[in-house]
Amino acid sequence: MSAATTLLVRLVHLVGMALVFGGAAFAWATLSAAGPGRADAGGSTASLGEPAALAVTYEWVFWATMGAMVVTGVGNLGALGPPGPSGRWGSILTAKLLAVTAFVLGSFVRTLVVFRLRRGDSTGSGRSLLAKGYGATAAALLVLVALAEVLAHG
Amino acid sequence: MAETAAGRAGERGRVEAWVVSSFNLVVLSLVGLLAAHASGALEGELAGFGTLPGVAVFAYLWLLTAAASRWALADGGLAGLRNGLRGLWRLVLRGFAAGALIGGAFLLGVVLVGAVLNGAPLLSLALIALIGVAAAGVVGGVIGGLSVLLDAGCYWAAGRLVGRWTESGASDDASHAEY
Repeated sequence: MSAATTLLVRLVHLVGMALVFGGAAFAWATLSAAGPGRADAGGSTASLGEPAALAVTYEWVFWATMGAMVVTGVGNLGALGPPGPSGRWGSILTAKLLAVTAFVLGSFVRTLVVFRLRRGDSTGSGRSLLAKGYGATAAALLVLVALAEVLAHG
Repeated sequence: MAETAAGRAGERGRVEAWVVSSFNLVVLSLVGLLAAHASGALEGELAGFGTLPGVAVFAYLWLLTAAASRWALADGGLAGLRNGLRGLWRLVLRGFAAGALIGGAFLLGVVLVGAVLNGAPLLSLALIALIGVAAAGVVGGVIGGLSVLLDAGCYWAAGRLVGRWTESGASDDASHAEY
């Protein structure tokens, strides 16, 4: 792989991480600031409205970015030369792959929660559930960044 | 008004197909990476793969998965899982068919491009396509069916989460009303 290609692959990977982390933090902050959004005094069960639109936009971008990050992650591994399964570096890679897989599964559940809330399965209390979901996403991404840092620099 | 509702449903279908196809592809890639790494085969496999061919193969697979998922989810989408085992079985069958299409089309595309680039004779190409596409179709079908089961598990988990959250929200409201 040429130096320019390696740089491009890493750039896409980093920008992708910044996008999903920044988006999750933004969604968390926006939904938290909007309040818990429980049913009003009249017992209204209004749909989520704008928060749902924000969440759906994030999910579009999130899954596109995850696809791009998987392919650039493999590219990064190819450029560095992947370690064998044994040894410290190999164990860290195993841990990172397992953590990313768990994160992707959790993220899919979060996305399906968004879909269910949008279909009107819930009252306004869904807004606080979404806020917690995006907060957890941002926190999990920080852990993954730390693992990636250890993997890259030891 | 009916047109607006249909437009909303269409937009929902597109988002759902996009998310489900991307999730299934990402999970499959990660499981493949984990298996290759655990067996020690990752180093050898990556060494023989260039960046551009790798990105092209992944993009082709993504495109196929997105199109097949759109077809598989066209008849009600994941909401069909609310119909119990009948809904699940229906989606698993559609997932199997979609996976078989992806597997067959993927292998056919890769073999065709490889043959054109390497100048392989037409007869051997046809033979590889005939046997390989059938085998890839079966493997793809099994992966497609298993993917639906994984999707259904996550859909069930999301439903439980929303249900519990709504219940706790409602009981909070009720306790506030008492005071």
